[in-house]
Amino acid sequence: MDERFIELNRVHVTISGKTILSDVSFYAERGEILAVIGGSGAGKTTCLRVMTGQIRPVRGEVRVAGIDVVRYRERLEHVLGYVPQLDETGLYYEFSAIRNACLFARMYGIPTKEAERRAREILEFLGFRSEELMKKPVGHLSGGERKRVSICIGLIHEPRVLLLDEPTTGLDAHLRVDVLNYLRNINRQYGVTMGIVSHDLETAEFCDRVAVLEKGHVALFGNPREFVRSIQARYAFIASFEKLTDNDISRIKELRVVTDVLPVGRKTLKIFVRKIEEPLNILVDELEKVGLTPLSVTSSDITFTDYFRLIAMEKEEESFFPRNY
Amino acid sequence: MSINRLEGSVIRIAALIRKELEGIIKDRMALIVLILLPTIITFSLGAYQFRVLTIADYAKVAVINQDTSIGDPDYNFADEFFWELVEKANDSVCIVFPVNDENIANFLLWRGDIDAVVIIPFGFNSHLASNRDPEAPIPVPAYINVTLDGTDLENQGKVIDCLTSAISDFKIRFNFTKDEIIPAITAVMGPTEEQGIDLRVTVPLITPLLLIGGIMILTSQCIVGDVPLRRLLLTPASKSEAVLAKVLAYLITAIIQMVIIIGILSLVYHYQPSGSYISLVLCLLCISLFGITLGVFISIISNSRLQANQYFIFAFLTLVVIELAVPVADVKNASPLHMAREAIINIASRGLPLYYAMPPMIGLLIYSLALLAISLVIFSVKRSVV
Ligand SMILES: Nc1ncnc2c1ncn2[C@@H]1O[C@H](COP(=O)(O)OP(=O)(O)O)[C@@H](O)[C@H]1O
Ligand SMILES: [Mg+2]
Repeated sequence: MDERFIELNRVHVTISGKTILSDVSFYAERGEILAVIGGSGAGKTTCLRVMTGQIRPVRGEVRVAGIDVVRYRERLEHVLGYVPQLDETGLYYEFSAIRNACLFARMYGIPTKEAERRAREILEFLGFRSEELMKKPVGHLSGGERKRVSICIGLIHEPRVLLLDEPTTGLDAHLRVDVLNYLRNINRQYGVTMGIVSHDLETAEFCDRVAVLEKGHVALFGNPREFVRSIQARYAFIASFEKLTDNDISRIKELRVVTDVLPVGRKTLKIFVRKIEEPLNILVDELEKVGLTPLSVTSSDITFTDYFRLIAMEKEEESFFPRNY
Repeated sequence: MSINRLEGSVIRIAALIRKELEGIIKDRMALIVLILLPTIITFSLGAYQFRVLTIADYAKVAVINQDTSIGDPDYNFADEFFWELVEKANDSVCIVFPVNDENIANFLLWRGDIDAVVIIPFGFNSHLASNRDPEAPIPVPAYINVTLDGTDLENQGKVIDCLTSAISDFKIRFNFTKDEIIPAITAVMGPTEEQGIDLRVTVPLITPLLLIGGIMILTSQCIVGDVPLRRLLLTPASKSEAVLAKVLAYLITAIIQMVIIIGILSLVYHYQPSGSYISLVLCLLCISLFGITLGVFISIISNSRLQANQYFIFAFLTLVVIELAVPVADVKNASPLHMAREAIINIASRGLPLYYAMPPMIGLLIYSLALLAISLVIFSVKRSVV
């Protein structure tokens, strides 16, 4: 039996007369990770505030861990963890990680000793190796460390659902992947259902479900791997060329084995290839035939980001997102 | 269930109080306001004397005529002088009335019910009459004894004004041209005469300003500036628990301020409150509570730290202006700063029992509880999102 642990059903939110969310529906089952992705101002944070009961929807149902959030917000306190977008709104910068964790744990009546043990366990899990980092004022930590402290606090009372608002925004590329990996590990270790808000399509790679928000409504919702499977291509290659004109790109697109092409860099393309035997050799052959010998070709994965960019390109001018997605 | 809930609540409030105090200790600005400000101002209190004169309500002057001496056949000078005082009273914002018993008059003065006792002593008549003899070579001065309430600068001014104009008109009317009448003036604070008379005037004026202002600077920021509190409110901690914890934490800091103020005054300037220290501390706690709740109220209605600062300055100036410059007695008597001053005067300067400081203290408590209640209501409907 599937149990929906995060569920928004036809949720409509207006703030001072302005519609922020209209008819938003998505869900995640118990133990899954849900990504809510959208550009700035798409209504992601508002979705989370609805899930935490901070904002009441005008209509629609919101259920988190089986609790009707609109009606029984206070029952949510023990089962929900929340990691706000900005660390300064969720942490006392003058206190250490451990002190912050103990303060929040105390609100749930968790004894200080136990809170400290849990905080250490989670922080170690999140890659805090040294005692010094745990005892330093949070204000003196780096952005990535701070984010992990904030995640630790979201988990201190062993919630069933953890909601995170842009946990990777503002972090370096390698840190973004680190944080998402830590979250995946925590999800497996503790079985916490997670809702991760992000403006970064890459996040969906780590998730079981993805909802793409656009101007307050859901543009796309489903399983990212299924989306990827739904496209024609089976292989993807990154190919770089000595020079590349728009005309060259169109010629590559016309090739028999090629389904789609996405520009990656100025002289680099991601080329999608249909299901064939020996795709790499055939692709290189065909490229040479039209006189576009690549400098290098490497095999790559087809990601949800690719899927999204491809369908956005199909819609041509009215694309969902600007190029940088 | 409800016991468990109460226990959880107590645990949370205790943890929040601890957090608040730790936060204050780690905040340099808070330490300056809490420790440096009272230290500096208290030191300067001892060094300077403040003098503030305004017109407000009438000064009450009890006149005791003890003169039965024989003087001029046509006039009773003692009676004439009394009526001269009565005539000048209105111009000087005084009320002059006769009293028979000196002890009763002094008791009323001590309690602060009246502002001055004027005694026309035995011999006033005969001395003045002797001066009417044109042969008399030098005047024999007739004294009048004036005892003023030393805690009340405004009313001292009114009484002295009334007295001097009465004396000069009296002299003109009866053709006295020299120093025939001399007022002997004493200012008293309470039942005993001790050192540090000036402090007993300035302490009641400055201490409430210092306690209310100092704590308001901090508490007016305590909620609007506590951004992570919004995340804490997603835990079982409630808004009222958070507010209560803040009020209690700042009451603790208020006690530290009191220790500093009273400590410096008594150790450096040998100041001793005329009443008991316990009464004084209770009274100062009421005053601090008012400052705390007004600050919390400001913090709750503000949407930014800057706005809270502006509201604080506005509120504090309003309090000071009402106390120092508004001449309407009813408005003034309802002013919290005035209540604070009254309470301290009665306990620390006059040395009256706590009972006499109760009305202003209860007034302050009512203000505080009302502010707290309004704050909680506003806070509970105000949306705070994180
Ligand atoms: N308190 C508010 N009052 C008015 N408009 C708001 C408020 N909060 C958010 N909005 C508007 O709602 C839209 C979505 O906001 P938000 O959910 O914060 O977006 P995101 O997190 O996706 O960047 C934005 O256009 C924003 O301007
Ligand atoms: Mg946001």
